[in-house]
Amino acid sequence: MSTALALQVATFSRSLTARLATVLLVAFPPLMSVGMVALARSADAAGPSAAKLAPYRDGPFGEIVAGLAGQVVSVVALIGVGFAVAWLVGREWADRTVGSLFALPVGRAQIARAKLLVVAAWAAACLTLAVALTAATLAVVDSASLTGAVAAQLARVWLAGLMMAALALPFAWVAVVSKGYLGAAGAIVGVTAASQILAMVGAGAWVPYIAPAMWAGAGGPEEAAAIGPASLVLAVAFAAVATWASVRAFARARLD
Amino acid sequence: MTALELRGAVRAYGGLRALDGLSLAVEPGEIHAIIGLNGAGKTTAMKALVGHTRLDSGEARLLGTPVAAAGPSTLSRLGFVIDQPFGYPELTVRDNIVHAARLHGLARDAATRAASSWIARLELEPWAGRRARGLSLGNRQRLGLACAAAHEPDLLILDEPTNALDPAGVLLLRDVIVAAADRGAGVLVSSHHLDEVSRIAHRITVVHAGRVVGALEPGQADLEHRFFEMVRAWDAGHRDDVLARQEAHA
Repeated sequence: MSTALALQVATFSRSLTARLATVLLVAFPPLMSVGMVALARSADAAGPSAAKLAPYRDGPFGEIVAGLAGQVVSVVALIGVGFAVAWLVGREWADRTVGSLFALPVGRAQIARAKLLVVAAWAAACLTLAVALTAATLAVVDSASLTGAVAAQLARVWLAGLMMAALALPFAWVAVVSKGYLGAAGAIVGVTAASQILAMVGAGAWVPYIAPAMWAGAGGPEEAAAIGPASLVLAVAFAAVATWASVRAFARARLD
Repeated sequence: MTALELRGAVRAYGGLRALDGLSLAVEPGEIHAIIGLNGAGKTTAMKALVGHTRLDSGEARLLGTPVAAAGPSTLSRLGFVIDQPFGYPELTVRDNIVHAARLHGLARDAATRAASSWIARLELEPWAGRRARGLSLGNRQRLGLACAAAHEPDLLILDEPTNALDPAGVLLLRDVIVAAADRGAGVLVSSHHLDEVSRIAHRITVVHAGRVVGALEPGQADLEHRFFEMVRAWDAGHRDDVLARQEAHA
């Protein structure tokens, strides 16, 4: 496994996609959540943007930031990790490197597991840093707002982010089946759009790609309260089974 | 034990039989060249040997083991370049060879030593620290050869390895192939450069319409002429088959 991991770490760490996704995952949550709420409460907010920022104008600063963080982290985890895994798997077809991975002593199942492990470890590190930076930024802007309740909400946001990252790993399956990263990129866009629609019609609790985001507060405190453990277990189970299917698909792919 | 054996191999894509009962073998220490026109079945045969494609029927064996049952101990003795050579564009030439050697079973230190040795052997020193994406096609082909051979395999499968090589590269490749055979490795090589094949091969098999249609004697003069005579003679005797293949291609 160490051989397969070494190759994936080497390629992933040198990829532009990974670098851009790192910026998205680490910088976007603190900038968006703290920045948007701070902007909503500044005197500069005027015109059409003021209307959009209105929901963030009132209420305890820390709680509003933590709620918005749940929304932002859920989305960037799915999209950022999705694009990273789509690239790391789909590039083998796009760059025509997949042929050299056949008939090796290191099996393709090991190579696929190494790919997903590298993305999972990178995603966990990025999301941990993102939530830590959000808390730190909040403390710097308004230290009194970082209460125990806000810290607990940020911990929930972190967990939801990890779940959304796990749910992004199965885009590897789409990359294998579509023999490249474009199909997987399309699937990410499609799942994100479909999730928005299903959430609006109230079906979110039992849709794996929505439940963790709602639990993190993306739909407001009432919808977060409606998400029970069963919904989250279903989401994690879906991620586990679909990730297993991705490894299997990579290991069994042919180049006909 | 043969280094490689393909027996009665059949592979059809829709109505086109890319392999139509093809059989061939490579003995240890032998350089076996297969020649044929585009679409003859050479690459498909090689792809079946490494699992890129499955056979509809027939048998493929690597170093005495059926391909489907070949485990790490067998596969660590195999090296191949088919279609696209190994080489991740974002990695340097040296890193690519080290990773390829490790994937073929060498320990980290041995892989590092092998990389240095093969960089020198294939005269890749000026580009050793450069990323593969910046290499010329010929140097990418040299890199691919180094990645396939750095672990000193007992069986080498090379599909059109001279395609993009300059004359200096062709000489280096010839040395690698001859040296591999001299130490006992079996080599299966396909090529359109019949003169080159004639110089180094112990056996030349003509593949046409997905099957073996004859053999040519290495070292003979005017190999191209003899090759085309053999192919035309087969076509003349199998007009129905030729028409069916033309329709399938269309």
